Amino acid sequence: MKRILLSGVALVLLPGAVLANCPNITVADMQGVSAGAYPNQLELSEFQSAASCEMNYSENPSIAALNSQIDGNGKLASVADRLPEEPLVIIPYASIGQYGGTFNALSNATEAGTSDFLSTRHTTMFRYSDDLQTVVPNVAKSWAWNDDFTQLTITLRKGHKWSDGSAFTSADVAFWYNNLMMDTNIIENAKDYTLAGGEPMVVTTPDAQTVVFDLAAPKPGLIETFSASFIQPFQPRAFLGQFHPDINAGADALAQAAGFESGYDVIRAYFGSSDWTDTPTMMFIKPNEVDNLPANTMPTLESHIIIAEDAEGRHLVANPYFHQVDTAGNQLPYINEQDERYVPDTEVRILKLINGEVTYKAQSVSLDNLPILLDNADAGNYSVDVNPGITMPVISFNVTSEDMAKREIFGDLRFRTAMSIAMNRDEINEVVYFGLGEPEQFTGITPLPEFIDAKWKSHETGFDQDRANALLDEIGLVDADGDGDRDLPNGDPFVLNIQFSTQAHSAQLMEIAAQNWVDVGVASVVKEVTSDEFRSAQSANQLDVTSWGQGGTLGVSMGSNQWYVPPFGTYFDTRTGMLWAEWVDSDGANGVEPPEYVKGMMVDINILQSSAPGSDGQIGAGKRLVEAMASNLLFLGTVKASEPVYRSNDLQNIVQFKTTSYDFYRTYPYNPSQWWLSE
Amino acid sequence: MLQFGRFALTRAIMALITLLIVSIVVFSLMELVPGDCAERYLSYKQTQGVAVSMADIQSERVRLGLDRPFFERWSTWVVGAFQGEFGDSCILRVNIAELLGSKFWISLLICVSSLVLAYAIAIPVGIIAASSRNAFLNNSLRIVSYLGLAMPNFLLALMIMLVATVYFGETLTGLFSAEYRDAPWSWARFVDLMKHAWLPIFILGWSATAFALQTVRALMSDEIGKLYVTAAKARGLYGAKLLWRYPARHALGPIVNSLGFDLNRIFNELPIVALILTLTEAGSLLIDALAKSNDQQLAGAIIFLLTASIVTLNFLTDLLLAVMDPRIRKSILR
Amino acid sequence: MNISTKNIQDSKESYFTASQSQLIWARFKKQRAAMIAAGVLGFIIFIGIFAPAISPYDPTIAGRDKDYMNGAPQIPSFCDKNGCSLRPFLHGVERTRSAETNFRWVEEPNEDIRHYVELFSEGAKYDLFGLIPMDTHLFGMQDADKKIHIFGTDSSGKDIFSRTLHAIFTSLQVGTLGVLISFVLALVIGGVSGYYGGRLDSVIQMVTDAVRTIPAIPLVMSVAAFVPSEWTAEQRFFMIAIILGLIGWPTLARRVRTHLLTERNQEYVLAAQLCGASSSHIIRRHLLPSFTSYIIVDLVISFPYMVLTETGLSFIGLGLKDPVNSLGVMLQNVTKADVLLNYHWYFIPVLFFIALVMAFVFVGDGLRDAADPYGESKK
Repeated sequence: MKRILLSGVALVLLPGAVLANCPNITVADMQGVSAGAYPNQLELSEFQSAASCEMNYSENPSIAALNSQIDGNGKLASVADRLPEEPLVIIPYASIGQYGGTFNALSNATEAGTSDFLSTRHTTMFRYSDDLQTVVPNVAKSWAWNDDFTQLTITLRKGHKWSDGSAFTSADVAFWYNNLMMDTNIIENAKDYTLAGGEPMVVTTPDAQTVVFDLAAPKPGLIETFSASFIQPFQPRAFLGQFHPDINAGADALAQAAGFESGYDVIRAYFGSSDWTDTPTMMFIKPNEVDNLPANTMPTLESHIIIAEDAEGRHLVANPYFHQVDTAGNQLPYINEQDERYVPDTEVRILKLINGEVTYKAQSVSLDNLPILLDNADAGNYSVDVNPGITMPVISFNVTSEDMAKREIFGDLRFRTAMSIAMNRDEINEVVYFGLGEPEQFTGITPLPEFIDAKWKSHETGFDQDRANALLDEIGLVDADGDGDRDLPNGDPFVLNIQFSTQAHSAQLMEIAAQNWVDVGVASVVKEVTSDEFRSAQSANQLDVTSWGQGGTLGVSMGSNQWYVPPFGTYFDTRTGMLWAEWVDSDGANGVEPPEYVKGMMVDINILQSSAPGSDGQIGAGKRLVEAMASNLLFLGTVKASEPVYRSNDLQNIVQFKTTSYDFYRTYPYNPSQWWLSE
Repeated sequence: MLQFGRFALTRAIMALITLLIVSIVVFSLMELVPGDCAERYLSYKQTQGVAVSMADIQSERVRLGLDRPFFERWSTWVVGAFQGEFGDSCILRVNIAELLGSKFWISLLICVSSLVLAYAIAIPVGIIAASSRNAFLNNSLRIVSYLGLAMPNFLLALMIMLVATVYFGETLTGLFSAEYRDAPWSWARFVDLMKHAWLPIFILGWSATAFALQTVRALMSDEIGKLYVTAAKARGLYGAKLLWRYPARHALGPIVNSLGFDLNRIFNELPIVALILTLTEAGSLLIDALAKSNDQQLAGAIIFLLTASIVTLNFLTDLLLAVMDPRIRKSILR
Repeated sequence: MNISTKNIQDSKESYFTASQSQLIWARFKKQRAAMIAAGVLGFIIFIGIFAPAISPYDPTIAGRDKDYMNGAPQIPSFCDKNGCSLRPFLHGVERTRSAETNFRWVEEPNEDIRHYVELFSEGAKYDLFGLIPMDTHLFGMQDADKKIHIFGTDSSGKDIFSRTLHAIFTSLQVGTLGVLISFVLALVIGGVSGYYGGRLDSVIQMVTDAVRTIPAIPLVMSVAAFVPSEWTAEQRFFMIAIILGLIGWPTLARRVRTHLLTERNQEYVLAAQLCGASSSHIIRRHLLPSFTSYIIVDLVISFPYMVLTETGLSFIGLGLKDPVNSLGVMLQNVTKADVLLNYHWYFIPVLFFIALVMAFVFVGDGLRDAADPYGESKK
């Protein structure tokens, strides 16, 4: 009897002991709970076993009101039903947040200057953690490569739902790839990131939570696409598929009933024919027809969803079906609403910033605004962090210039070396960047991975006018007519025609560099032009000297070979060796044959892209690439600047970023979904 | 009467032709500018950090219909324009007529108000300046109005905004406050608009006043010296009655003539001010379309509407002048 | 005849035999406001032309002062706690900046160090009027390493005083060119249109209206695209000035034409025709002088409009930009919130600009009054 009683009590009590609520751990105070497989986050089962607890969910008290503002959403189920069976547990950095508040954002226009705001709600398969080196899961629960990087298997979360409550499954990933990316009615030319080895991938879905990507050639960089970019490789099949002729036979009829010409029109209007999430929504482009449609914008997996849009801005509310929770079981995001306003003029943006009207901003805030921002920081209740950037302004000479005499000079390494050491980078740093930057040489891959010798960063960056003069004399650029400027070996005057755009870097930088070169006898004509004029003159091979901001991470190079194959940049960067590019594209029929080191770089970038990360092949190729780029000075590095980040003092759980840059997709590595606003 | 009707008809046809000429000129000017809509649109994306290839740009061009021959594009556009259908903006991807909607009327309202303000000040002040012997009054009135001319609009706008922000904590941007932004038109919304629009009207009006003042003063000075004025004085008329009955009415003829173009000049200044004050109306959209995005459709539409307004205004003032001034009537009907 | 009568007779005779311009000048002299304005205008033009001689330093980045960036204006003094001196001098300064000062320069003057200013000092070489090589400047520092900035410096250390003077000259050149072109075109086209009337008039009016409605911006943008890239920024802007002149003529042309439409029915025109005068003679000698006043006013007023248009275009990114020196560029530099709040001396070129515009306008008014043949009764 006693035994039955005792065991009965034990039976009652023991589960009670296991059913303790999970501790509210934060990154600052882990309360002795051991970290999971990935930093700053845990899978539900990991957390529950590590802390011996069971998680109880709670939701935003205003979520029902917010949900009613989402067009097409019905009544809300309970929070436990809205979350996946295994939600992602995000460990907040400093504190468990409080629900509420409106996040105020500024962009330049509907699709310009928006990416740092977009990144605050962005969600994709994986993410780079805040050390910018570890890839961690987000929407996906786990992934696995096969041995030679030709097959990627991704496992999703069971019970994960779209923002309208419908189920999110592997079929949505397959829909994105097969019916949107590969459908020429929506995207005419397949995008580079959807191909492997130039061929489409084969996407199959063995079950509702598993997606398999089969590639024609090894592409370890595919992970990069799903973790560090704006691309979201999934779209709602149930919602969009009803308008897709390949999926629903009655798609066109349905579209016409709503006032569109065809099903594809509806899809294009919703999806915008691009994976960018700032393309205008149906509310903006078809305000008359939008009421005939089931919802005014597509369902999303992001932390917030757009509920209103016009020419002046957008308004968003929290997504009731978001798949992340914090360690106390609160469904994220904490912030109720987001309001984005468009302000095209720089000075007005600054005024709004110093008036404290904005919660967070990094893009389009430059270092020369730093003094005025710092002056008003107390009154405006905000702080400014300054973090290193990733790209830096580089200057390059046209090595395949139409003018043969100049081509010979620019092609001579001694000339480029002389120009590099004639530049007083410390002066540029002092005048343009308040001394906060770092003079650096261009190495292609930045930041320089540890396995590459750091000496390349300071290769030929010293200031040595005597040596520069000696080198220039050596190659035959002497002052023949005594006017103080050097002339070409054939006697003609030697004048550099420099055009630049202030979108790339400040005018002062170019002014100082040109003056430094005048000091060693190289005359130049400096002219500021618009970005369009710069690009077309560059494409037409008309410029002597070009400049832009250049540089990207190792991850970028794994996915794209643009820095190492002539013309060493895209249409929108600075390029040189245009005629070498012609030679490469035409397989030797036209253009000018590039020198051996360029061919070597082209071989090495292929090796880099097809080797496993961390393998000897990749390390060797990386070293050779950096050596070739830096020692040949195709691009002269100037000063790697830091960039400011503006944040309101009311914004909590925000950490200092390691870099202020587009790479890794801006705020995405720093878990913006766990930011909250104190009043 | 028949002759007058013929005159009116001729003027109307000429106005139409003017409209067409301007639309061709603007359309073709946009062609010459480097960088088309496809490039600009994709370059936005590039600044967001993504790699874009030439093939992407080309397919974007085809999607926007930019590879069709010039004449075909222009004619489809102009035919639609006369019906009020301007197609879609290539950058904003919106139907232009809906985008412009009330914005163009708001811009027109601001410009016309500035013009009215300018002449409301310029006419009395010009008359005084031309007829008064009081050098001090003359000079100080002139200095104040000419200051509006000398001071560039955008600088004035920025300074006012700065003072407002720093000392009053209010950035005076926008045309509507948050509640009225998307609301349907009502008296309250109109009042809200006026509360915000006073600043651009003031800035534009001040600089327009200077020009108008110069004109009025010059014209008045001319007329006042004429013999018929002396004759009227001899008959015993003096003071304001004299001024108004004789010289002022004749001096105003040329002013009526130039109203249309004054409107054009103000509309040319509006975009920059609108940019600074973040007014979302047709002027700032125009500057964006012309200087930043090379959005031919949008720019063409706004300029077309503007030209139509000016041409209409010119047509009306020509008729008005022919009715008012018998000298012109006689010359025309020679 | 006694002397006074003779004098009166002489002056009456000279009045009747005087040429048009002599009459205008006599009347102009009597207006105080206009004479003051003319003086100001003359002064500004003078310093613009002699800019390289009067300014102490090269206005481009070559003449910058690395030790004095974003520096406030320096006014030399004659006396300090250590006594007075005939020659003016400046005190030495220590400048620092760091994160603590929000990256703004903080100055510590050192009262014991004096740097003397001298007149007619030797400095950077230049060509006076583009012809005469010289290197003497109106004033400068005795110690060639130190510099004096009476209007302060900008963010890269360029002397604002030197920049302003050179900028005045550039803007004057550009304005003159644009105005001349539009003036000539307006007279010819407006004259023909107004004198002949009828169908010719209608056609020309249509063209005039069309040109007048074309907004400046796409025109300038596309012209800029055609300019060869080897041209310097200044050469490119002259091209733009020409274009501005080409679209600036309609206003004056229309006024000319309206005036002619009424004037050609006057009796003196009829008289000239009866005498057998040709059309062009009538237009030139009789009709045009009748509205000299309009022409003058418009000429003088158009001038600052050219400069204003340049500033507006530069503001949106067309037109001239740094490192070129023009008043429009200096205005651009002022249009920043940071500058307006903290670096108020950038505003000084704006004052010159305003003074220039006001001077032009007042001179224009004065000339108009002076040229008006019926204006005898007033003033």
